[in-house]
Amino acid sequence: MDKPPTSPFSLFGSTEEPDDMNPNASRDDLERWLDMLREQAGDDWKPNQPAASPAPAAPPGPSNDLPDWLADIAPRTEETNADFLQSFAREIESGEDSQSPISMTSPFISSTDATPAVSLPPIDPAPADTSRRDRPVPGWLQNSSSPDASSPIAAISNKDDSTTLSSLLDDAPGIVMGRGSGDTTGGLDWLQGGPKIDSAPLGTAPTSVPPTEALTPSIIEPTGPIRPITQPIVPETPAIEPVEESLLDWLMEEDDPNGLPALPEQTTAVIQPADTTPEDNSLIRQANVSDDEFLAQSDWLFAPEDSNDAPVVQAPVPEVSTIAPEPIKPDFSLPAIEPVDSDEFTVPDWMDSAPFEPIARIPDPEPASPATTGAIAVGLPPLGSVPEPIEQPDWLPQADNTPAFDTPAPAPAAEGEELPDWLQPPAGLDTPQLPSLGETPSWLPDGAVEEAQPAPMVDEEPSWLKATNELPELVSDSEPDWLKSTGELQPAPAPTGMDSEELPDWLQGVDTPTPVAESIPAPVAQNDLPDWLQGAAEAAAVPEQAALDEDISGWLADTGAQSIEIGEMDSTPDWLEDASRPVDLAPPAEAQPAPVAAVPSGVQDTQSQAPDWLSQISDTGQFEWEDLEGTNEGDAAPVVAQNPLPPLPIEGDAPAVEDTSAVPAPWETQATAMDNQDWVIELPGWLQPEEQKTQAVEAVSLPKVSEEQLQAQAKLEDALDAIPPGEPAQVDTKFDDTIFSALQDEEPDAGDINLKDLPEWLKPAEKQSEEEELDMPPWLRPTSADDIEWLNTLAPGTVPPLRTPAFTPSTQDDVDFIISAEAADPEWLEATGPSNVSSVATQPAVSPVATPGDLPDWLASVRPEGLNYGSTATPQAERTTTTATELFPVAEPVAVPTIPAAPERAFTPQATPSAKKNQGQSLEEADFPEIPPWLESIQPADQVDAPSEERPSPFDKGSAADFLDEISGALPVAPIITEQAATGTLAADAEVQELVVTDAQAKQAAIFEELFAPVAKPQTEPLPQVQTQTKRGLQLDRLIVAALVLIPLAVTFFAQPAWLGQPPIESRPAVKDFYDTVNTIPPGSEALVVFDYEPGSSADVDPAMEAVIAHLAQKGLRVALVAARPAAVPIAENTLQRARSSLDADFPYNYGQDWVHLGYLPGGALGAQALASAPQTTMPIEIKGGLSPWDQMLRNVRTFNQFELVIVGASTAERTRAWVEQVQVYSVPIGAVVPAGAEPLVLPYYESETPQLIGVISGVSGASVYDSLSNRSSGLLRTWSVYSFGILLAALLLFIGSIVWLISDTFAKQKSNQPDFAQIQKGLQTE
Amino acid sequence: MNYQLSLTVAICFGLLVLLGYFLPDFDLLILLRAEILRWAAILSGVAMFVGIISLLKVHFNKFMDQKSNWGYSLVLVLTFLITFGAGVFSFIFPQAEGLVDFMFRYVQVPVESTLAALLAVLLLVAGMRMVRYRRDWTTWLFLAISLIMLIGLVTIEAPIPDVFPFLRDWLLTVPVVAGARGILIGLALGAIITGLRIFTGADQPYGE
Repeated sequence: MDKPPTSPFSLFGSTEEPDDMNPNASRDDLERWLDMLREQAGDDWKPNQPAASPAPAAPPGPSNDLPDWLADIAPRTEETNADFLQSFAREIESGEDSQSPISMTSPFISSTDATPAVSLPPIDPAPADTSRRDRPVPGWLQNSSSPDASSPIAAISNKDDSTTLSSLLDDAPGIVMGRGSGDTTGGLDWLQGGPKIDSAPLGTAPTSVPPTEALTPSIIEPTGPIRPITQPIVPETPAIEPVEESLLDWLMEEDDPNGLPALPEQTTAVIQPADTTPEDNSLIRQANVSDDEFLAQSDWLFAPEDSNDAPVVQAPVPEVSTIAPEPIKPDFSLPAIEPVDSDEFTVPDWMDSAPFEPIARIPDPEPASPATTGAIAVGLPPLGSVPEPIEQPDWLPQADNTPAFDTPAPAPAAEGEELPDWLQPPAGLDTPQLPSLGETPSWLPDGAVEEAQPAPMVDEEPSWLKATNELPELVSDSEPDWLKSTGELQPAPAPTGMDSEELPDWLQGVDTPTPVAESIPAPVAQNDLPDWLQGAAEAAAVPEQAALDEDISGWLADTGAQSIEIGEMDSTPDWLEDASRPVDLAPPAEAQPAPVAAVPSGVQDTQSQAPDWLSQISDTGQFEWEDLEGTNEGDAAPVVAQNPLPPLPIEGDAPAVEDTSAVPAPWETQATAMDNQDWVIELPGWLQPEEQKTQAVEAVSLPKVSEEQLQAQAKLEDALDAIPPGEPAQVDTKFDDTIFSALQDEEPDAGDINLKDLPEWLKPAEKQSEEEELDMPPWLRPTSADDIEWLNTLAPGTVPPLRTPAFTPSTQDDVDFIISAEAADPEWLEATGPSNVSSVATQPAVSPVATPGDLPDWLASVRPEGLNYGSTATPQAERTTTTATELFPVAEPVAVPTIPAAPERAFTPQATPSAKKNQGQSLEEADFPEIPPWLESIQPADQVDAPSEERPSPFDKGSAADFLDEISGALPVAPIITEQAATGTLAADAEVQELVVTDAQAKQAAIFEELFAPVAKPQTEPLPQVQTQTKRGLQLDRLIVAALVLIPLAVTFFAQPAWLGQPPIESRPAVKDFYDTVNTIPPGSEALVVFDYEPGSSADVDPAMEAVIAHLAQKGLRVALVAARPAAVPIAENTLQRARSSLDADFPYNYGQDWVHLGYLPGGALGAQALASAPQTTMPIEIKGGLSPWDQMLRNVRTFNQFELVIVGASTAERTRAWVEQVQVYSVPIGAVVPAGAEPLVLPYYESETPQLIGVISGVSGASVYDSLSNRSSGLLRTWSVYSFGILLAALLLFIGSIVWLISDTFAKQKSNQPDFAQIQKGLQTE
Repeated sequence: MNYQLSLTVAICFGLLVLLGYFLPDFDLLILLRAEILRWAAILSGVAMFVGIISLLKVHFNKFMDQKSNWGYSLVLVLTFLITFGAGVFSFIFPQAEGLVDFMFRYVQVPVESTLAALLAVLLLVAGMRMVRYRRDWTTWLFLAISLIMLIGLVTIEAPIPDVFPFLRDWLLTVPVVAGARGILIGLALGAIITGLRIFTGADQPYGE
């Protein structure tokens, strides 16, 4: 208890401005300086010294050992805390808030005071120089100089006058303890004189109410065990009341008479939460308050002078933890980026490390700081997490709220957790989202600065610290390892399933990942610690601490000591008292790994107490139990430090263990008393992850495995390796089960594993299946641990190669050997009984252990004849050989996979196929003792007592019916089986009435089936080429034909012989009807002309279309052109233009008035249907102008049937038919213009009694006829002449050619064999 | 899943269109049918556009990979680009509107007409060879009908018996129309069966 309370806050302090970094500074200088401070502090070093206690004698002033700036501060230490408090209380009560020294009560200051002494290695020992004094104050310090609104300072300052602040302070000596005097002016003096202490930033630091949701839960929720310490001191204090009401004057003023640059408004704006009320804004320092005034008002800034009283200051920290009865919910959500004007403010180095500095800037010149921040951020919960504040010490809100000035993100922690005061980190830890390097909180550089130290400092790092610097990824190099560990602690979920109330503070603090771990001071080697700190550590040394190695950092020892003290003061939690019953912790630990992860470092010493899942951590390389086995708690840290902490391996628990391991706490002391073995085998191996199962067993439980078991295991592994692929899973399972079973024997020795405490799902399956096992027949029951004793017999060399799983009996001798061996050694079967191996119990192919007497007859018939179920068990020790079955007592099929191929002579003649099937599984040798009830229910009634020879197999002929008769609802299979066996067909005639199907119905059904049968794809086999003609001959043939056609046609075209006449009109009635119908259409009517052909057919269709359009124009019809094919769009227009040009030149036929082009109509038949159903919507506009013809030329057409005529020019009969089918339903006259080749298929629509077409114009002949009818003079006559002559030539060539080929081929066949007809046909098809 | 979805859509839309015919009094069905058909027309246009892109892609890849006959693919791609460029140019500069029409009239139409003319020559040659490879009554019947139809069409003032025009007209009005009707009826029945198969899911023309 006398140990100086090396509060973790003291370790947050040393944040130095990068510029302040003196690379030449050494720890020796610091230690000398600290020693001097400690001497000056005297009794005030005591942590819990009452406030009223006289302050120690003033230090003899700035000694030669002290830096100059410290010499300036030194006088302040002469003032006693009591005086300060009294004066402060008077001032407050008298309304002189402007002179409020409340800030002096900030425990932050006290924490800060200790900071440089403890954890600021790089303090520049150089005497104060002017340059340093003129060094500007970093922005973060400016912002953070003022306590947060929610901080005790602000709270107290805003407290009503009626508030008994003095009493409060009296009750909370810890707050005042270590403070400077209440004389603010004095404080200003030294402050002004001490350029290193720039109070402006402190005083001007805005106070705002940090957002509640951003506050770290761990910060605002002190852990329960702390209460007994703190509550008696300050049970309640209204000082923490929200800061909404009033603000101290010094906080209200703004101007800076001294010319100190006013803090940027951004600071205020930033720290002000969004939901801050105007009253809350009053807490923020007004912009018009000068810095000097503010400095004068903020005497609490004099706290730095008490930095010499670091021990004194730190003592009250835990005591004040409960000052705040109401949780403060500061708003950290607003990240504050405080511009740092480093040119105007000067701050001492130790101020930089002040833990109360929430600075968003880390004066770390190296970019490693952001990494540090990032590392911290890793362990911090996301912003916006709304903690549930329970009770908060006044200093805690201050610490928490402080970062609100600049810290963008709070240090969230697990909700609902209470953090011990000493573990409460300054809110500056909450810098997960610091935007830049410089915005890292000041306290962070405590570690970061160390990391950022130049080379000389690196050499001073302890080895374990160096090791931790190797942390990958998440943890930066510039981050202290303890901070890194906290960063990784963050992902850890809630602590153990135990109520957090039951946990000691320090444990909860450790459980609380981020803040606690971060609050833990940077691990400094004990040798590197200042003397006073080492002394403090020694004063508070506990046995465990004494055992610490030199590598153990002093802070670690202090922490542990303090924790122990707390633990001693507080009632030891039950779970600690029941440390020997770690099983109680196991279930929650399993359910929530985080709790265990939050176990402090001391738990690592109790490696054996860790559950299996914890032991898996060693598999990840993060933690090795073996490394700790031989170490004390003091050795734990180095060991862990030597193992760089990789990223979180599995859950968040693993890193938590690592991190906490680096923090040897007094927890270790109590943890060592625990029975480690209880935790080791807390969880069965099968519950462990598959990939780590073996390792976990080795790491945790193997020491308890006997040598024989290990040998057996090795043999098993060898044997299993030889198992054919495809069966490994079963073997592995069995192997694991076996190992587990072997380990089960050791469990009772391991400790009291109270499985009842485990949740049901965590309990071993064997426990859960005990009841089921009772209902099982013996042969179905899982193999017990005794059954696995055969493993012990597996000495090296005892396993014959033949019996290995790889053994595959290929001959009958092999099978006989196995069967006989198994039959001769049934003792292992008899030994089987209820087993703890759940996995084995769940195996359906469990080794059957039965006696012949228990086997029913019908099952006995299955048994091979040669099997002899030995009734006497051979002792295991007497066994000299093992069979394959013994190797795998669970009768895995994998053991002898190919045995089913064994010949039948190994079995009785009554062996049924099923029995034969089973013989390969090495199960048939087992007795089936008794039929379970559920099997008896289906057993044939008449087979129960019958002799085995008389009992046929249930699968034998004739017995199946009886067998199934016993089953209600089962289909009668007897007739079916009988008839099938007799006739070979399924004879269900007697049972099923045959459907009477007539032949007609069958045919109809066949037709119907064919209709809906899948369409068979045509065979596309390549046809063999038939060489019927040489290449030269083929070319000659074609050339001759082409020449005979083209030459006459050319001559005819130019000569125009007179003997070529016109086609007779009477021969084309379809054309005549067409023409007549058009003539009946009244002028001015609308006609739709569809062009549904390609240019390839235009030569045959265009003449007719041109003639028709010309006729329509002559008739005065309005023509709407539609192209049903893309290429028909220009064809339509060209055709109309030709028709128009064929008319008189002065014939008025204008676009848009007399004709219009509607463009392309896609969709084929669907397009036709769409156009017919809704012409206006289908073809809304014309293609030339994009106008709607339906309002002008086609205004009279609203439906398709309002077209007086529809002319479809198609290149094929199919397209014509499509139009006819889709349009004719609208009762619109349709005329078809098709090529001559399509005429035969189009004529039927015209030749019917009710013609669907008004006429058909086919080819040039039809066009010429139409021209003749319409008296249109066009070039069709000339064209037709040539066309007619060409047809004649074709006819002649066809005739002559046929004769020639006939004759030539006849002669050719006479000379040679006639080719096969099929080949000729195929050759023709090829052609 | 895709099959079921497509099947469901096909059946539903088919039923809607079909009911639009059988229940003409329901305006809703009429409207739905018209709308669905309009969708079909639009989708057909889109399908053609997609087909053009696919065609270009195939031939472009063929050209890039230097596969067999890649020269034709290059011609196709170049022709497409030229035609497309001409169309775009005509659209931008209306005064060049006749450029596309010129290409169509003097390139596309003659080419396709020539191909059709070559077909006539090939058919003629094939008719002559048929006698060599196949000498049964069908061959002779084919030759006889071909000659009748050709000669009957020729209008020559030469002394050609009138039997040919008569025979031709008779063939066209009786046997040809009869056969064509039979074919058309068969097509109609096939269309019905096809529709039923699609309704029942036996055919999945929309699948895969």
